[in-house]
Amino acid sequence: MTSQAISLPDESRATLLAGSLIPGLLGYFLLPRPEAGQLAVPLLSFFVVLPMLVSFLMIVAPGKSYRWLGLAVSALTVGMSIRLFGFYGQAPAGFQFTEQVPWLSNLGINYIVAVDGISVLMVILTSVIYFTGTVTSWNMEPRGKEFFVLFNLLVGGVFGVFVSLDLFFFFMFYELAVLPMYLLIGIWGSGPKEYAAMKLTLYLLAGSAFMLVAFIAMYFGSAVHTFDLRVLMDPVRTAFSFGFQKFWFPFLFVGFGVIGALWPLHTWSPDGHSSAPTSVSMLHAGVLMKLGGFGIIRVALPCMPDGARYWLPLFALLTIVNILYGSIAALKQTDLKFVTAYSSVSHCGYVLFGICTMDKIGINGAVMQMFSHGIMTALFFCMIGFIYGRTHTRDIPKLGGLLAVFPLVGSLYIATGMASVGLPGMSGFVAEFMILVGAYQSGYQHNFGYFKILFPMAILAVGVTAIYVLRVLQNVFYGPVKDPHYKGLPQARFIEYFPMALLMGVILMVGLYPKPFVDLVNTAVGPLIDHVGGFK
Amino acid sequence: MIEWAWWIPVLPALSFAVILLLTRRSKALSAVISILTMAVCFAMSLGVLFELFQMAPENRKLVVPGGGIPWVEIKPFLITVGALIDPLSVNMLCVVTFISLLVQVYSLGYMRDDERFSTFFAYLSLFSASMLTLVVSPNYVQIFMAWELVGLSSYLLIGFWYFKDSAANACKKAFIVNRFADLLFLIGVITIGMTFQTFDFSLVDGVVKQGLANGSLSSGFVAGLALLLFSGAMGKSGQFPFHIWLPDAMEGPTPVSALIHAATMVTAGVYLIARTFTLFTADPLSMTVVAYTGAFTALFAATIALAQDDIKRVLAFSTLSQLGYMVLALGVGGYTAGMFHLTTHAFFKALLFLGAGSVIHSVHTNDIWEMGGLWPKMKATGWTFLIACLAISGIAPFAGFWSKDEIFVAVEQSRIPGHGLLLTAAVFTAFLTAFYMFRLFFVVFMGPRKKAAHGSTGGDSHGEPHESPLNMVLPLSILGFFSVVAGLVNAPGINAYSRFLYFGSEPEIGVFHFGLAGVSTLAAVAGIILAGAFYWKHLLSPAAWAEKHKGLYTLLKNKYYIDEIWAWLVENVLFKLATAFAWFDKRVVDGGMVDGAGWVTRRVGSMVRKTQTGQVQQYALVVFAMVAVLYFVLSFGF
Repeated sequence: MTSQAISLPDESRATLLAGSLIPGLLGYFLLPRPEAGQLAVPLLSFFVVLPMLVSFLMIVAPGKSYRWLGLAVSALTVGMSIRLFGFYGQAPAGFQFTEQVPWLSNLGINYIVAVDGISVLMVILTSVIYFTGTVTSWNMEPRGKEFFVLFNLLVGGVFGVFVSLDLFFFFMFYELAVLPMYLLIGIWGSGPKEYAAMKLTLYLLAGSAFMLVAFIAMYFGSAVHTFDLRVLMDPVRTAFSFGFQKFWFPFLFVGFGVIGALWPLHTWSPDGHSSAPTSVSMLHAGVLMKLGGFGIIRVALPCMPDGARYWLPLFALLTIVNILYGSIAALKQTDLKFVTAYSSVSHCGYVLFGICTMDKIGINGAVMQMFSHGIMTALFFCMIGFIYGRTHTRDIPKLGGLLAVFPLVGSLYIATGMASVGLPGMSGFVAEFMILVGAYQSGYQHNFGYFKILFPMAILAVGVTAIYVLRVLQNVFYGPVKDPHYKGLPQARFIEYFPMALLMGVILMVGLYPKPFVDLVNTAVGPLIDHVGGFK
Repeated sequence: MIEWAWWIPVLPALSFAVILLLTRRSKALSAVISILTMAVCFAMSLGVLFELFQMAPENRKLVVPGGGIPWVEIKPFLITVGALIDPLSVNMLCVVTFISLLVQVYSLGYMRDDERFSTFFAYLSLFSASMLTLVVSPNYVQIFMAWELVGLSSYLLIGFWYFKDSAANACKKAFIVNRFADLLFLIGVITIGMTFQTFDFSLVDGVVKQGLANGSLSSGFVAGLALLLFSGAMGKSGQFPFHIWLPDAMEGPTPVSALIHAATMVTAGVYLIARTFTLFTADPLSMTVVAYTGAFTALFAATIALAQDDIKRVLAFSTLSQLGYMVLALGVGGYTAGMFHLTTHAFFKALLFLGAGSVIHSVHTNDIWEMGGLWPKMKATGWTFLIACLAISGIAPFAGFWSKDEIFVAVEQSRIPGHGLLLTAAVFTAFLTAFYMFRLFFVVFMGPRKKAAHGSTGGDSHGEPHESPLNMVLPLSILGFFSVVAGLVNAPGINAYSRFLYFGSEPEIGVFHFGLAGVSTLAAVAGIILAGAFYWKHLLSPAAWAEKHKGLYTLLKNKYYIDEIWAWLVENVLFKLATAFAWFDKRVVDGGMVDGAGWVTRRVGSMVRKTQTGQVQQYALVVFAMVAVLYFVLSFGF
């Protein structure tokens, strides 16, 4: 399959660039500026509807043209999401660009979409991964068309989760994002793909069952019987008792935690990632795993602050296990994808840990870490896919000296490895630094002594990360070329390194000057913490 | 000029990016960009220095551009980036840009035939950029970030010949050892920033001084913070037991070694102590720890250097030893003395490494026993090497004499418990230093030419040893000049350096102590004579001596087995743990719980199928029971 992919003719640089730049610029410039409070167009619904719409169009698209459709729409969303960042007014924080369409209003179900700073960042993340994933799966065979259809459907669901403010739709989009995964891994995967696909889907569905129960409980528990999150966040109108919160908060946290790779519910992740095809791994680790942290911040914390205060210290311990356990387990893996998967367990542990600090800086850090880890892991999987495509192995002992073979991809891999270590100048540093500051704040400033122990433990993992990353770099890229027939392998073509370079650009951009991004996130986290309160 | 000073670290960073992205294919263009950038930076540093000289001493402290740029801001939490310009940072700016410039010129010749010549220059630029960012940091976060970037640059450069397994091991080791030392540093940075509500150096200093004065801050706590910072400094400046990465860092090309050892990396730790000196001086505890660590490292590394056979390894251990001196100086309160030794050391250590590189370039081996008799063939290298050896041994009037002497005076005058012991160790180290440096000099340059060198390296196209090309000799000569005269700026009666760079409000003009100077010179001369007797005139036999003290010699040769201890810890503790975790995840979490759950589900499924009744009430009962159990477990079980 992969050797076929290499022999396929390369799309020319110019066509590819034009195919992405023109829709990207269109998306950027044609999006009308929303007037104050008024929406000329359903800005956010575009993000949800376009990928779904195009996935239906693809079914009837002739020949290979479905790929260009995918490329155009994904580039369009990138342009639109950057424009959205520009439109998003930072002064009046809170939810903006609200669209509300009555649906089953008598049941309290309405189509409500809106974004705050966190969602804007997540929309940018999704569109970037969507675009790079589309380019990466350009030569996906066999059944390329079906792959693209499912891929786009899934992305529509992910966008939906990030912008929904109605729990009913939130849940529906969530399922829409999870279910195509089963087919994408089961059909196009490698290795024990049926096992992995089944395991992943069952896990995530089990997680969503927890969520659903809690959503329904919230619906009936609130005085107003609604799925509208804006109402459910308002303690005056919902009046969730402490007992109610204490009982239901764990359902939400564990339900979302499953997809956020909460220990010990993380084991779907290594199997799923290693079996999934490259672009699905990218999307999955890059975006889907973020739904966990996002859900906790969007639903669990604001709706049940007292429950959070009660339970988060316990969960913080689990997330510390996540961080350390993931990084230590990564030390001994021999499959490149498994290393990255365990590294994801560790990095996602930082996301959840940041949330558990219930500190403003800590949660800002958690959101930044979601973004950073998404881009970084997508880049890792993209490069691993490339290496596997060339060498036909992901087994670390069989690789070696690849920097001499693939100077460009090798250098990018080393750079990404450094991002994973949390090197300053890359996006991971600022995120992890803020999470650690948050832990310190909870431990000392807010006088929650328990975090005084967790804080150094989280820092310890920063060191262990360096060991497993550098070990991989050494064994795969340094030293003499291990297998003589690696020497003649073809270099990365434009279509292969274009997405890698783009993702690396994002990592550096956020890493070198994070202020705009942190400011964006803080417009949402600031009010959230004012609303929820810390551990005080 | 000062308001433009923030360009000094930015320019090399830009040249790194430009070379990698645009001009990589042209060797000449890449080298020109890199060297010109560094020349501009050096000129700017000198400009800043002169401007600073003209200002009143109390005004010599400002942050450009405009007090710093916000980098992350979540009110009231604020991280800024900028360039702090004061005598301490400008001193470092001049040293770093000067050494970097010379090393880059030298690399023109040394790396001429390397395929990745342009990449090498890009990495050198990155290294300088990181170190320059570090020395101008106005706050704890920026210094930590630059600190890590220095680690990255060293990783790239030590592993520049990545296809060699030894280089791949060495760069990994350097990065990881530094990383672990940095963990405590990171705890220190966060604790300082959050306790004092600012990361800014001067603001923290102010709060600490005030807090100590009015008693709201315990000096023990500040000492703890200082020691957290010190552990980071121990990593970068190779203090025991974090020194193990430095000798292995020799795997990089020799210009890189010169850069690491003289200017861009190991001095960072000493600089950090100097920069945060207010915290260190708060309590005798932290000062004592620093002083003893420094003295121990100085002596410890000097003894190892006695028994090494690789020319660069001898120099590496001498660096460790000299860094020990600097740390010792700071520990006993000799702020000016420590920084002065850092500065003079930069000249003669760069000279030693570049000289060693010139020798290696000529004879194609690192083993000193395969050299010998090079003096007639390599006059320029030989003379400059001799100057550097005299300077590091502390013979008047060479640079090292003045700075080392100030350290001895500082130790002698300190009130640290047991400062007599420290002084003895320092003087004894001076004796050892002279001995191993001249052992190196005599073995490499004197005596008969050893022909074995060529047989062992094989395809050597150069034939006889020869002097290096001009672009390598020129930096040697310039450094040789400064190794002679640099010390004079702070000679008694002149004291220009002391008046420029000092801690506190008044400069401390050291007194010249003839007794101490005499003793230290005596020690150095004794070391040189002994080395001559052993290795030049062969009056004494090193082999016989090594045979007689076989145990000690083996211990020294194996560097006290510290590397082996570390390796054992990593192999037997960390990797055993990792194996256990990986097994646990596969077998228990995944195999036991997850697949077990699957198995149970299937079994239950087949059982339940038989009891399928179709009665809704029964289902409801089961569901209710489950919920009840969950409820009790979750609500009351915790």
